[in-house]
Amino acid sequence: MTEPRSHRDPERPERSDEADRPEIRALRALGRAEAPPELWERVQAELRRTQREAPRPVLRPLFRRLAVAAALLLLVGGSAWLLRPGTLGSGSVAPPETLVLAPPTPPEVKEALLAKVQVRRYPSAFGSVQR
Amino acid sequence: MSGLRSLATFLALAGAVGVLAFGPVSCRPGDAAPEGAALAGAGAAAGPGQQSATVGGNASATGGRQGIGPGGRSGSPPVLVYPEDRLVRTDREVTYVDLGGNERKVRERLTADGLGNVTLELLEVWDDALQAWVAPTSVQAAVYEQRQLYYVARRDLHFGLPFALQANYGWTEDPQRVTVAGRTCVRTTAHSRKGMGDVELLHEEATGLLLGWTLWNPDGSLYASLTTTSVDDAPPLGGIVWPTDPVVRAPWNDVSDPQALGFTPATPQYLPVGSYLEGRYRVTPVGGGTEMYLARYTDGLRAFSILEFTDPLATGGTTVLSGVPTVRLRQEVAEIEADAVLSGHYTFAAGVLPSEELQLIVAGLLP
Repeated sequence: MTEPRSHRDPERPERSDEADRPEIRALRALGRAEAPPELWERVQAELRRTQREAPRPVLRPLFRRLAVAAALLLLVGGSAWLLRPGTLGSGSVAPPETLVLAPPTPPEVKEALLAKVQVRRYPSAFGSVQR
Repeated sequence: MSGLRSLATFLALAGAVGVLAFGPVSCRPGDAAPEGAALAGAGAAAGPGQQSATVGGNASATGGRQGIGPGGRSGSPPVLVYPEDRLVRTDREVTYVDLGGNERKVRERLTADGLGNVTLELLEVWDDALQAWVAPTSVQAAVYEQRQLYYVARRDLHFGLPFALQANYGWTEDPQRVTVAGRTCVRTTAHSRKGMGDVELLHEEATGLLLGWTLWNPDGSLYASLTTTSVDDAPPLGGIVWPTDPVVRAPWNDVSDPQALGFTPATPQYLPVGSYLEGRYRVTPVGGGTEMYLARYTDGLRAFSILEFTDPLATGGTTVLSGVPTVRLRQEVAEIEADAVLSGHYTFAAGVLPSEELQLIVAGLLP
């Protein structure tokens, strides 16, 4: 029956850095005997001394501000682009590339075309009066 | 005999008009105009009719064009909802001035299911002699039967491209509201920047539903108008036989279609100022018959079409008098048609334009 590895065995060698500590060696030397209170105080003092305070997230607010600024910039810039002539508002009014509006025809051209034909008026199903 | 000939001519004209109404790439349900049966007869008859579409306006409802001043023309076109796009039944009165300068009127009923089906029925015709509304004749009813989809799609007013609407017209909205068919309406005037005549629109303020229009000639005289007299938003649709498109329209192919149809469409030497090409199509009757070339134009408000086809059975039908080609003019309900036939080749132009414009268009298509 193998003992679960998760249980710490005082006899089992610890990581090398911890094992080298004098306090640890002293504890091991004591075996299963009860450690003296001063030893525990020294251990706690050592741990307090070596314990580092968790770093404060000083950069997180900065990143947040940058993200908000970027979003606002994108919003303003995008709106300006959409509203500029040729995009959304007046975009539908912009002429398609293939759209060509017929230019005015000179009067002499009209006269020449009308002179080319003669005109007759035919009756209508909705009224017989046709001059 | 002449009566039969006239009837055949009318039906042929009606058929050709229906073809013009169609646009292969149309997204508007009313664009499908009926007329297949008349197509076959168009060539064999005395002459094919061209259809023209006329946009009328409701001068009576608006009180005349003088009601809106010329100032503040920097506005934009209104947002419209066309009756044929809604579930609705509207009774309308169309007033137009015929080629003889006489004012004529008809009453018609448009019914639409909002799903793309639409009918336009001729109810009554104003009789000048009797000074009363009378029932339509069989010929008048037949003309409407064959042209109803065309009238809805091309005679009735529809907006073209926004660029053309702004380039060709300045827009003014009358701050004073008017009542049409019991609905509070906005009156908007489109002032022609190109001297083609102004156009007035009446649309319901709450919904944008187009309930009337008036089209003026360049000299300020009335061309045509349409006024809605009643609106039913929940009409009974039972028993209605919806007309179907009797032709198939496909985008024109400059390589293969001239070979198939046996001619190359003429390049217009004249187009009304401000107009632009909406599309060119090869029109094929569903039941068989002469295939045609169709080109549709508009200046944003005034739509017109050009139709060409060659009928080998009508080779002798040449409208040349004294050596000069003849352009024939005809006016039906709020529309003017012009055509010429040279050695079996038919050239039509029809649209919401003054007769002289249509004469010029046809003359400019002749060799």
